[in-house]
Amino acid sequence: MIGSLFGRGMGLLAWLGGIGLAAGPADGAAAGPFVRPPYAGAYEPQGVDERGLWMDLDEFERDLGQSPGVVRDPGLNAFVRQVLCDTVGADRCGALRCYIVADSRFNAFMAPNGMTVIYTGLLARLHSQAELAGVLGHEFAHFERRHSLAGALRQRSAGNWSAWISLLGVLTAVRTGAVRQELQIGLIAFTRGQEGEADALAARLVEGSRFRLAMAAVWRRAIEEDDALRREKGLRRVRHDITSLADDHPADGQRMAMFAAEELRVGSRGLDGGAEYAAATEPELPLLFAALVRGRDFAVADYVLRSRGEALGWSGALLTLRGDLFRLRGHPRDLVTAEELFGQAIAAGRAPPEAWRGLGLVQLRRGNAAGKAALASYLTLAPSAADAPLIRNLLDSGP
Amino acid sequence: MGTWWITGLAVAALGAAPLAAQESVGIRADFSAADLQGEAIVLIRPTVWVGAQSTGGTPEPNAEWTDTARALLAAELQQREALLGRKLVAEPEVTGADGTLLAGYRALFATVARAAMTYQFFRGNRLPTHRHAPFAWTLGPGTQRIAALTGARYALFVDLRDAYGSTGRKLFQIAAAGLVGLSITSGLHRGFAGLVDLRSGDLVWLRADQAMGGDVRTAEGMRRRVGQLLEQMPQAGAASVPPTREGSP
Repeated sequence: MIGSLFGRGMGLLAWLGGIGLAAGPADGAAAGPFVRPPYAGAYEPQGVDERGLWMDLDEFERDLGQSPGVVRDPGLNAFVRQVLCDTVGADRCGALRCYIVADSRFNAFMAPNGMTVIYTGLLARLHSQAELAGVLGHEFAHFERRHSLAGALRQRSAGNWSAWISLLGVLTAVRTGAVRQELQIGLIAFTRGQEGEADALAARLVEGSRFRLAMAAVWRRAIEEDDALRREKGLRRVRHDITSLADDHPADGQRMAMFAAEELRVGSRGLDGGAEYAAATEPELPLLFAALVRGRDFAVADYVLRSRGEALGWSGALLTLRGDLFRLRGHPRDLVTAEELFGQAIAAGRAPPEAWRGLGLVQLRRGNAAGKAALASYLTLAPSAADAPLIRNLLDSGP
Repeated sequence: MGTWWITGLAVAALGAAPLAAQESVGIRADFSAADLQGEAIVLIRPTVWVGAQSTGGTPEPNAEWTDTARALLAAELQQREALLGRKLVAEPEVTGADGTLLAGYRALFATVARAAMTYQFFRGNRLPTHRHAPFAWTLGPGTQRIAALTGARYALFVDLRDAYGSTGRKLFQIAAAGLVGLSITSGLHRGFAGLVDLRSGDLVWLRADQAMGGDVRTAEGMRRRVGQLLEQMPQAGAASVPPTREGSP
């Protein structure tokens, strides 16, 4: 699930996926203001299975801590950690270690040993501290309820039954595929239940924090993003309000509806923190969007960029990223759009040097010699950029 | 017909024992025991995983067994210092750029070693142009940075993975063999070890075994396991070097 970065074969890790959030109202939703139960202090894993699970995770975290795929920017790390602590309480967050990992997907997870992983693709898609609080609250719920252990035990049990049933099937010449599939579906439904539980607890955690509960919008955008992708690829659109047997999370639409109902109940009190979120993520925008912009899903990248621009404003850096998205696809019509976007980025002020690089490259490709001046500006602004020798070469050899 | 189909499915699902038609050791042609003499070897933090195998084959990590095996492995390797050459130094505890460097090379070694096991040791997998190729794999000269960091000339990597068949798995193995004649493996005991020349980055020796002996949870068993891992390594002070099995058509 976490790709090549986490390359060791650990079946149990498969249990850590996902920002699952739940359908149905939270338990005791109308029972008055939420108060966090007292924190019991550092937890030590108990028994063979839990200790084993933690062992795998501890080893994994050793490598993750040294991985070049982890974003080290102190400002961004401190910001994410502060939102986490404000959501789950300072006592609880003390035991958690946060790692921001360069990955374009919309995901985060919190392992039972306290290792918290947040993908850059998640930070690219969120728009406020309140939204980040909702996601981190959900992951924390998995952690506090020790869902990974229950999931691993359930998986082992299903695997064991499956083995005996297969053998019985061979003996009796009866096909057992359907029964074993049932076991698998039961296993998936079990995780889906855990996700629902985590969603409910997340809503309560955010409600008890200084942040506004604002998760419905996150799931609305997830649906819109998926629709945009399906339109682009010509795929059949799916209903987002029902779960299929193979869904290990509630459907996005169900989660949106559940949170919308909760938000109605809680009201709009609490901090949204959109401006704070914009300020904290702005310096790392190229990193947060890099994989999306260079990926193959144009519609997804464009949707995510536009939704951020519309919510938090179009900064020079964001306009430059959108310009790069069009430049890299590179149809003649894209080059026109890209040139406009780079121009807007430069006009917006405080544009990154990449705006001049993009403008110059696009202009040259369109046969406009003014591109040379833009590239020269790029080299002046970023003389030691990784691609500076390449650009210099282009300037020297060009007509 | 129907039974065949189901049997085939069951074999695929349960992981019947694979055929082990593999070589298990590779030595670079220009490497000999004399090269080790008097040189320090840094022991890169070994990868050790010990657990059980459930009835259905799910690996179940066991922290206590793993901790025991890790300690026994370290003790056993220290005892063999003299055999290995001169000085065996532990991987230093480093953070920041140095930590990333070592973690990167641990991962690179694992990848290169697995490629060598798959595409060199298993003859059927060799590329047509490399049918008779000598054992020549390298991590690249960037390993000189590890040499500078540790003061060692060579790096020793060890990777052990053991899953002991649970009672359920053993019962299932017997049932499968007795009732339908299916061969199901119970337990998994894999290991590999490699020696890298940090000046060139060359993998000078690699040993891999998919079915190793010795119970790594006991000192006696670990002695046997380490013995098996190192048995074909050119030993310091040895009169002659075991001939390489690679490179000859």
